[in-house]
Amino acid sequence: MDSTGPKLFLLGSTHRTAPLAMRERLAVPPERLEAIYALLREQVKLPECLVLNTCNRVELYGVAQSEVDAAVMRERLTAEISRLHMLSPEELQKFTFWKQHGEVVEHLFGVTAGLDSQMVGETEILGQVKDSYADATQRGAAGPVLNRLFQKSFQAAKWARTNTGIGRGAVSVGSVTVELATRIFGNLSSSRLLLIGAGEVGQSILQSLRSRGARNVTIASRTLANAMELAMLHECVAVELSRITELLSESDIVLCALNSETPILTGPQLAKAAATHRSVPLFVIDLAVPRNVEPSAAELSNVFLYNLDDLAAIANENLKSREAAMDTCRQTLTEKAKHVWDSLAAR
Amino acid sequence: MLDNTPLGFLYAGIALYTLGFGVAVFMALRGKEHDRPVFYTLIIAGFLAQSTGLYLRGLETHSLPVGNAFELVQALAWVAVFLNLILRATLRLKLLGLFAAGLAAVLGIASLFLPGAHAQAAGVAESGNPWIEFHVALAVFSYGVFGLLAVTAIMYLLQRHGLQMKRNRGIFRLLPSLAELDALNRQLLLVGAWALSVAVGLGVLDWFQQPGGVSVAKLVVTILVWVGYLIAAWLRWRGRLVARAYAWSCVALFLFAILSLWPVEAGHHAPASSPTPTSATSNNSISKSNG
Repeated sequence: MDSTGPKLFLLGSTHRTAPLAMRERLAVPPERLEAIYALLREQVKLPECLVLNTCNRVELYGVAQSEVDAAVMRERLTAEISRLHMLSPEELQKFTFWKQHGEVVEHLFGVTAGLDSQMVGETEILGQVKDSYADATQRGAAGPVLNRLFQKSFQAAKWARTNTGIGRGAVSVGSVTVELATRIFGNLSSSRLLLIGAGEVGQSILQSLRSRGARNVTIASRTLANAMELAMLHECVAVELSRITELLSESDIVLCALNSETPILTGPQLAKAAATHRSVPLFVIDLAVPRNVEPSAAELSNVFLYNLDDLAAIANENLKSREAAMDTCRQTLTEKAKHVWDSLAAR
Repeated sequence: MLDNTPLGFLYAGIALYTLGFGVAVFMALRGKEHDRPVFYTLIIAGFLAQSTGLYLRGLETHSLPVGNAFELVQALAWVAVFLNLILRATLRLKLLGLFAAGLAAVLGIASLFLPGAHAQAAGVAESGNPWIEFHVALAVFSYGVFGLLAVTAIMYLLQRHGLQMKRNRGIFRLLPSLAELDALNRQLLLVGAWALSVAVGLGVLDWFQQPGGVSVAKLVVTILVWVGYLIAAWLRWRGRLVARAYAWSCVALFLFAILSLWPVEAGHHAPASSPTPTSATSNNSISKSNG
């Protein structure tokens, strides 16, 4: 890309260039942000800069004062940052990447659209970029170039989400469960949830459902103490495993994640519970291997039974669909990025 | 074909509904929600064209333009689209517009094959009785509500089928939740049943005043439709007709209601004038107007 226009550059390290252990070392905790900004503005003398720090990336966006300045910037920044993180410059350089001018625009557009994320198309990154931009603006670190660049990247992300399949469909077991529950019950705030088993898998799905509004939760476990511990964490009710039959008829969503050699819920048990539900279906998610629910329950008319394979199949299907949309999305974002860079260079 | 005559406007309405439906189906099959500005521009334009057509036809008879099977089905489509536009603004149910446009397009196209399209406007004119006109308007409204109920019942069945077959792509992911559709189905049945009950009540009063003006077939069909919906409402309220069975019942009842119109109309009336769906009783006025 050409070197006319603002001397825009980016020094970054992401999940694509650095292993987790290195990313942990390079991460910038909020209390250290002030020091980083001070370093960039006062020691490196950048007129504009922005630090984007998420669990998978640390990126420093900057605008140098001159072309010569930009040329030596990588070395200088690497030296300063490596000193800050107590690493050798060579070591840091091995796990970082450097981009300049139009490449920076293209990279940022990909980041905000979720193309560069570990989970392609995830939306959380856009919020994180917005937060970082707001922070830099508040500190007076973002100037006319970065302002325009980031505003345009938000527009590009919105375009990608609206016009391509990049963010379509849930791609994790937790979010697929939430999506299915929403297709059945709409708003989850009034849905009654029964979690059978207090293990990690169940907890993670419970967390997803609670984040979408599920409040009325009962946890049943072989060990009541485990159920109570989890119940305290999520402000819900804990019961003994022996009570699950009576609780089935009072539940809309049943999450089964119990380590058991034999099914703990049978077809007749679920048929009886479904009969009391009338117009409200019973959504049963069997997360256990071996399965906790008799497969014959899937034939019941008012029961929707999904096991781990079903959820994984949906997640994989959605992921493939997102990946299929990536090329189209990237191509258009590259064009958009070029257009934005041209307009920045023409200023 | 598309001219400034009432028929021209009605044809334009059908064409626009069909186009809107086609565009939305194309998008939905690709797993995308339809482009709202384009879709609703087509549907609102269709609605305005149809309203104008029905209004002009009404002006010719100085009354409601529901005097033959063609006008009647056109009016049902109009009510369904009108209700959809209101529900769209209040409930924001995904894909309801697509399905309502589909209903309007199907009814509109079907109406072209019904007697009365090229006949002179018939209406329920010259009855001189505002209660009869009110009865007819309520009956048409209730049929429109039942039409929309059939549409939301089909949406419910589709969503349910998708969940049972573990399909999560395309149109299945875009449909509203089962809970939302079930709540709407319940409300639509109540509204439709109340409107039809009042319409039938008014008709019965008129029938007592002037008995003998209604064919037995029409009377029986009307009563069957009314009783059918009342039974469905009662069973739903008692919790005995729920979920899939309830949705199928709503679809079957509407099919029965709509299909019963044509044979009864065709076998009973001269081409220029035939009565309203439930207007077993309003036939008095029609009969009078027919001499």
